Amino acid sequence: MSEPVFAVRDLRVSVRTRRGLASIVNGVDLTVDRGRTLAVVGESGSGKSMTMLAATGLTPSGVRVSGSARLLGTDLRTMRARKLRSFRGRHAGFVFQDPLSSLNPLMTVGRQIGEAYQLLQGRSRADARRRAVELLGQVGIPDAEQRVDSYPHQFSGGMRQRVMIAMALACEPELIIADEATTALDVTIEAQVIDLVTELQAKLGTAVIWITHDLSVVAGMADDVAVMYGGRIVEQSPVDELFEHPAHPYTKALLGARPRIGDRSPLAAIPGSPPNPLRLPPGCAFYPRCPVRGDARCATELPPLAPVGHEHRARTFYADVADAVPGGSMS
Amino acid sequence: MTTPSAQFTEPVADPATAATGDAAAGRPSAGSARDVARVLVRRPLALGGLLVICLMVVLALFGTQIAPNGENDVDVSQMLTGPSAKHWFGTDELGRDVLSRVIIAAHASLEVSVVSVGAALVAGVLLGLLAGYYGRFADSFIMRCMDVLFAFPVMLLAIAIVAVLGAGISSAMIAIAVVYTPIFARITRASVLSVREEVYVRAAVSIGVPDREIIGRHILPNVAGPIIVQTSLSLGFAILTEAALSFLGLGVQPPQPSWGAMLYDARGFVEQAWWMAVFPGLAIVLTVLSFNLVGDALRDVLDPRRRTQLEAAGRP
Amino acid sequence: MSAPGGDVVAAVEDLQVQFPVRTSAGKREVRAVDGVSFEVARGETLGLVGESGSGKTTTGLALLRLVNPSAGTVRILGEDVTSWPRRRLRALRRRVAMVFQDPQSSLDPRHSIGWSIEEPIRVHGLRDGAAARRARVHELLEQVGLPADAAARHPHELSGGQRQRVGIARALAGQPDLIVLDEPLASLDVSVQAQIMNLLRQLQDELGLTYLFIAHDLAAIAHMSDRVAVMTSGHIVETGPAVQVYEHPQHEYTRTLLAAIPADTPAEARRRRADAGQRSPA
Repeated sequence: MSEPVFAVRDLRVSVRTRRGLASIVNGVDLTVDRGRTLAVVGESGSGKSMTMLAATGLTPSGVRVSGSARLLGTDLRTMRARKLRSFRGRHAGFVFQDPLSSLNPLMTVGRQIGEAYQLLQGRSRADARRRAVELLGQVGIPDAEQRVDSYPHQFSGGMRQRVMIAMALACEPELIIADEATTALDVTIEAQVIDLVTELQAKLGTAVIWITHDLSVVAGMADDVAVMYGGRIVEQSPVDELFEHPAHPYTKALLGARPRIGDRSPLAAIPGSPPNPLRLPPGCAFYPRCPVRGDARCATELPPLAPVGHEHRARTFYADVADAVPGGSMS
Repeated sequence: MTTPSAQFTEPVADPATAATGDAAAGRPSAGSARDVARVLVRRPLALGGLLVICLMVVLALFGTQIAPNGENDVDVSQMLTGPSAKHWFGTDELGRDVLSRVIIAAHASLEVSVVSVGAALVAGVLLGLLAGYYGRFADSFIMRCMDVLFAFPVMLLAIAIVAVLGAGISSAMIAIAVVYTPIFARITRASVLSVREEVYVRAAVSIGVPDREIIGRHILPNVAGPIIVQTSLSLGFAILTEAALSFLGLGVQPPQPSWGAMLYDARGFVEQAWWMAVFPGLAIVLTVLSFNLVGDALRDVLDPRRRTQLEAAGRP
Repeated sequence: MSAPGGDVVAAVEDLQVQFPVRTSAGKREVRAVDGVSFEVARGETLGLVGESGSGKTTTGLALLRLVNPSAGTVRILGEDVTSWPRRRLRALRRRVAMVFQDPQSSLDPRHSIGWSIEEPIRVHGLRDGAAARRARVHELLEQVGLPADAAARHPHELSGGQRQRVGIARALAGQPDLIVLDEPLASLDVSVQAQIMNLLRQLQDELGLTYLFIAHDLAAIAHMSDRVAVMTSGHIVETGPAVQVYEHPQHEYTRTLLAAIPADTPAEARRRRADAGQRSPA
């Protein structure tokens, strides 16, 4: 078994705010292997974005981070700023949610794609331009030769996201991290972007971490899934297993709360709201909203991430893997 | 991706937290007053500035009672004496106690500054609200007028106005008010333009709220921040402008003392009696600096984006 | 295209809305809504579905005259409001209320929740005296499932789902004949979306409300709507009972849209990819 491309161990992130200490990420372990896609699923306040930002050294100042994050065996957290920037730029590509604010409106896309390529690999501008055209072609932008000199505002939303992906691929990174990359896109465009990433991954063997709140996106492209809640991973398994035999009550509730076409009966909504990182409950973070509450320890003791199946772990005292989604079948 | 501040500054409503009386009555939040107090406490410089301002206000109101001598107590035997136990700030060419004059002059300086900036505030904010909210013709007309005023150097315009109206304290106030109105108009208009696009304003329109209420209850409270900051800064500059006008003999007229006028009087005696210029000068510097320090602190409290940056950096 | 049974609350005919747009080539007029017609009957939910840029939001805004039609008519409760002057619009906005997409930005941060909910009551003079108004606010809070002490809070103290409940309470305040909901779920977490959908349905049953539900999420539209209108590029391409439109789409665009709905499960996703792979040449 080869070394995972990216391995995060016991990552913790907190911030001192006016109202107290906010514990945003509380001990996260993740790995993703070559050619695999890990989906990190969670809602707002789950810590899913912050985990990736912290692991890759992109958090703003004032945020406290501990734990290790090994990219290709090297711990990013112990690197000095300049080395981190070049190492990270060379081996990891990022795709963020809003391409409009992630792209410099005053620079052509070709220059932006070429920028990273050039600085990190010591290539010439001509090389960089060639690479940009090549990448634009790879991400499915027609007339790449011409479009390489266009500005971001001249592209549609979906196209801009493709440009972001091209930028992320510029140095042929071993890892791509996409954070809510398709959330702002229309359904039809989203499908195209997901197909694109899947294709590229198959071709280049890139490891992909896909951060999302949308379970259908997960169904469409993930190999493995980690569900986050209250800054912790509450369930981790291969994707099929997660959808067919969800173990954690939160995962089950999430799967069950989705509206299904053809069924107009009231939805199995989860009452309440996601937990406040300033005031995390002592035991299981999901306890206040849990429909099950199946064990006396839930309120006071933090459940460990325990195995509940093959390569399947859940952080709950009440793992009833035999239960599928409440209210009916899945497929 | 969500910015860190968006992720963690959104607490869930906690039923255990009691509601404050103000908010229960439906009045706009007074929370920011608490924030202001907190910021000032943690910043010694701003706090110092606030204390100096308070001191100046006290002097302005009660100067004649506090000062050891009258502002025009001429004592020919004591002309041009240096700082001493009897006259802490020395005496001027007529034997008058400089300390007393500096204290009493606070009144004129602050009066001119507060009244003129107050007038500029009212006029400028009103013009800015109208220009920003109604746009098009009103906007063009108002802002071109403001541009004309902006085109003049402050002092030149002030001098011109006083020249037309005749020297005196009222003219100085009018001149300064006119000169500072455009900045308030511009700041207000800029804020209104952005607030006007906010969804909650559209929501108010969708409810059927009349224009004047939208401007008064939704737009004005949300543009107050930059206006308040500008007010504190303008107060400081107004003092400088008044001092300059008085120095030129165009503002406060003798025998009423003003810091600027005292500087004017001191110009012939700079070598022999440095105290005649230094102390009024210090008074001006100290007061203006204090307004600036408080203004900076207020800006940090009242501009929400700056707040987030500072919080992330761990500063109070 | 006409609504079955019941009296018609809103009727739109050949609606056009244009916006001037400045391009490098000079000023142009863009037709965001280009000839749209539909009716909404009392007590029903008409789902207006389309992707971004389809003009669905603009259509919703036109019903409250928050944008002005450049052609066509908008009839609310039988009255042609298309050209009503500004001073008459207040009356219109009592009859038609709106719930906005982003609950955070649709509430004035400077005022308490109670104040924001009370605003329509005050503006339209629906209750006499502060006490009566406050009582109505509490009544509304209860209807949307918020505790009474929420009235004293400010928007930033509430979660996204709670804020959207406030938006709904505010829309209910004037007992409107029609509520236009513009992407009311888009800014909410998945677990909260279900809560809000349930709340909206429950309120509709209890109070006999009529909704124009604008969204791009096909599953949510299917869940909420009795009838559906599919919109693209300023046109409605298909209208009909929800079940029919979803099961037997007539228009090409509708079919494309439905086909793009992501698969529910990984197994389904793989099946679709395999099908697509078989259909198109390698």
